[in-house]
Amino acid sequence: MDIYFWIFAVIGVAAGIFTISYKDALPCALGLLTVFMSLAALYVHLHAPLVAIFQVAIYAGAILILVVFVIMLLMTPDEDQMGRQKNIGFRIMGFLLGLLMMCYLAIGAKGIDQLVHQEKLPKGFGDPHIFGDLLFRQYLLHFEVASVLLLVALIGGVYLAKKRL
Amino acid sequence: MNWVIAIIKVVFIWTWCLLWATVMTWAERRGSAMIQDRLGPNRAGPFGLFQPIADGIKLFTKEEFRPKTARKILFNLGPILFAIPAFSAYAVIPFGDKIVIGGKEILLQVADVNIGFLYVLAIGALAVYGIVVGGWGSNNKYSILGGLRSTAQLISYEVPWGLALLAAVFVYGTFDLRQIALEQTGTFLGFLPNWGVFKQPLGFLIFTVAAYAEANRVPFDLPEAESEIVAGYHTEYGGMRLGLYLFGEYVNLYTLSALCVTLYFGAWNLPYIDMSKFLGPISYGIASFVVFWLKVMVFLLSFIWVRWTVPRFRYDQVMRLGWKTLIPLALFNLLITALFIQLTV
Amino acid sequence: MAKPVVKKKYTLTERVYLIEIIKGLGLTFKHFVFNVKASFRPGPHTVPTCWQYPEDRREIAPIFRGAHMLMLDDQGRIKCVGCGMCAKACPAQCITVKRGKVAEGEESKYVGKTYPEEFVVDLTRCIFCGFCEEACPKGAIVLGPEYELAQYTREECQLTKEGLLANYYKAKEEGKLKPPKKPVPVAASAEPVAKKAAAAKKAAPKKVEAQGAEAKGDAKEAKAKEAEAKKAEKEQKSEG
Repeated sequence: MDIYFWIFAVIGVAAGIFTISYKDALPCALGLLTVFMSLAALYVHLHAPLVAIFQVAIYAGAILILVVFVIMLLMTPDEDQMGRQKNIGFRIMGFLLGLLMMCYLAIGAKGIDQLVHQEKLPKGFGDPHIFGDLLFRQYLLHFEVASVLLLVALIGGVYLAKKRL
Repeated sequence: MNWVIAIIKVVFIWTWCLLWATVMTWAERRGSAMIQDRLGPNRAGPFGLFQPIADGIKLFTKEEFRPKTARKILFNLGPILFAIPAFSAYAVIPFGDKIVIGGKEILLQVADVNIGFLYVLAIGALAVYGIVVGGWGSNNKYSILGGLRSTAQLISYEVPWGLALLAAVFVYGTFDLRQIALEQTGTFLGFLPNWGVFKQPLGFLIFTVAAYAEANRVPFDLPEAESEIVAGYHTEYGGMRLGLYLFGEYVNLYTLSALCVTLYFGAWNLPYIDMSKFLGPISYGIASFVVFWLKVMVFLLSFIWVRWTVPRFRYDQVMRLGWKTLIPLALFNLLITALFIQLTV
Repeated sequence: MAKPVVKKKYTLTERVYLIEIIKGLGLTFKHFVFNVKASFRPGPHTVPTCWQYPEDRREIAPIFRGAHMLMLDDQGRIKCVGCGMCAKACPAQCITVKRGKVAEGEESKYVGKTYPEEFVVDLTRCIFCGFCEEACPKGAIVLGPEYELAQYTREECQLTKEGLLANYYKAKEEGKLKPPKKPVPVAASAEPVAKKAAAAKKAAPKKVEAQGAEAKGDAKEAKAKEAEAKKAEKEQKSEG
C-alpha cells in the first residue's frame, strides 16, 4: 500500500479528466501541467530523478508554455469550445479510438506484475553519469537521429512561418 | 529522524528566504533612494527599519478585490503558481557546509541530489506559469501584454542560462551543487582563490545577465514596466495576492544569487583561509552559513545597484540580446572551456 | 528652426555596453556613498535634494496666495464693509457675505456704516486665485501665507469670520503681512518706456480701425489705413 504512489496517481488521473472535460481552454492547460507534475513525482519515486527533471523542464517548462502561448494568442475566451464537436461521427470515432488505446495498454501491461517487485537497484541508478554514458556510447545513433529530426522540424517551422524567405 | 531534520531544514530555509525578502524590500527602497539623492522611508523606525513590517501589515489587511470580468480560477491561481516555484527552487542549493549537532552530521542543504542545479533550471522554467496565468486571468490588455512579454523573455533567456551552466558542468564534472562547492577550496594558478569566476569569467557574465532576465529585473523588467504598461501582469492585484507576487520575485532573486554564489564564488569558502582547520564543528557550520549569506547579500545588493544604473531595454533589444548575442557567446564559452579541459587534462 | 537630427556614432566601448554599465555603476556608487554619509548628519536638508517636510519648510514669498484673512486698519477696525464684491468676483462662488448695519455702540470696531454680519469662505471650493483680493474696494480681504489647511471634517473647512480674523492675527504675529502698496517712483530709465507705451497706444487704434474696415469689406480704405498703421509702427520702432 504505497501512499506516495496512490496520492500522485489519483492527482494525475483526476487532473487528466479535468483537462479533457473543462470548457475553458487555459485551465485545461493548467490541468495538463498538474498531470506532468504528478508524473514527475512518480518518476522520482521510481528512483529516476533525472527523468523527472527532464519531464518538468522539457514538457512542463517548454512544450506546455508554447501550448499556453498558442491558447492565449489564438483562442478568444468567449468562443464556445463545446460547439466545435457537434458532429456525432467525430465523437463515435473518438470513443472507438480510446477503446482501442485501452486494449493496447491492457495487452502491453500483461506481464507487468512479474517485473514489479522489490529488487535491489544497481549502484548509481539514475545518475546523470550513467545516463550520459548510455546516451553517448550505446545509443549515440538514436540520439543524433533525434537531434536531426528536431533540426528538420525547426527549419520547417521557420520556413512555413516566414512569408518571404 | 531524518524526516524531522528534513522538515526542520525546509521550514528554516523557507523562513530565512521570506525574512530576507522582507529585508530586501527595505534595502531596495532605502538603497535606491540613496542612489537617487533622496532619503528612503525614515519614519517607520530608525532609518525606516520597521517599514517592511508596516508594509506586511498593510498587504495583509487590504481588501482582496477581484475585477468583475476577471476569470475567477485563473485570477486566484496566478500568485500561487508564481510563489510555489520561487520557494521550492532553493531546495538543492546549499546554504553552508555541514554542522554537527548531537553527534549527528547534518548537511546544510535541504536535498543533496545528484541532479543538482538541473532542478533549479526546471523549477525556474515553471515560474512562467504564474505570470502567464496572472496576466491572462486579469482580463486586461496591459496584463496580457505583460504576461506574454514576460513569457517570451523568460524562455528566451533560459537557453543561454542553461548553456552557461553547462560550461560549469564541464569544469566541475558534476551537477551536484554540494560537490561543486566542495571543489572550490584552495587556490588556482597559485594566487587566485579557486573560485568558479576565475575559471569561467565569460560564463559568469552570461549567467548574471540571464539571471537578471529570469528575475524580471531591470534592465529586463519590461513585463512589469511601471511607466509603460501600468504594472504589467500584476496590475489588477491588490492585498496579499500582490504580496505573493512581490515576495515571490524577491525569493527568486535570493535563489538566483545563491546559485551564482555557489557556482562562481565558492559557496561558503573564504578566499585563502580554510575555516574547518581552526573552528569546532558547530561553529564551523554556523560560520560557513554566515559567509555564504554575506556573499548572497552582496549579490542581492548588486541587483538593486544595477537597477538604478541601467535604463530599461526595449523589447526588441531584449530579444536581440538573448538570441543573437548571448547564445553565440555561450556557445563560444562552451567551446573554449572544452578546449581548455581537453588540453590540460 | 528645427535642428537636423544627426545619428550618433557609437564608440567601441559604448557598443560593448558592458563597459558603460560598469562606468555607470561607479557613478551610482559615488552617489550612494555620499548620500549615506549625508543621511547620518543631524539637522535639516541632510541629503542635498531632499527636504524633510515637517521639519524643514521652505520660505513663502510675501505675495503667496494661501488662506484668506480679514484686514484691520491701524486703529484696529475691521476694514470690510460687507459689500459682497468679493463674492460676486469669485469664480468658484465660495464666499458668502451678509451685510448688516453697524449698531449704535459698535462704531469703533468697524470702518464703515455697514459690516459683514456673516462672512464664510468655503475652503473646499476656493481655488486661491486672488480675484476677491483684487475686487475688494477697501483692501479688506487678503490672501495670506497659510497653506496647511487640511481638516478632518468638511465643516471645519468653512472659514468663518473668526477664522479669518484669527488668520490675520497669526500672520501679524509672524510678521507676514504684505507690505502696503506704494506708488512706484518714476526713475530716469522709466521715460523711454513711457514714450514707447504712448507711441504703441497711438498705433494700436489705427490698426484696430484697419481691421474693422477690412471686416466691413472696404478694401481700399482698409489698405490705406493699414499702411498708416504700419508707418506709425515703424516710427515707434526707430524711436525705441
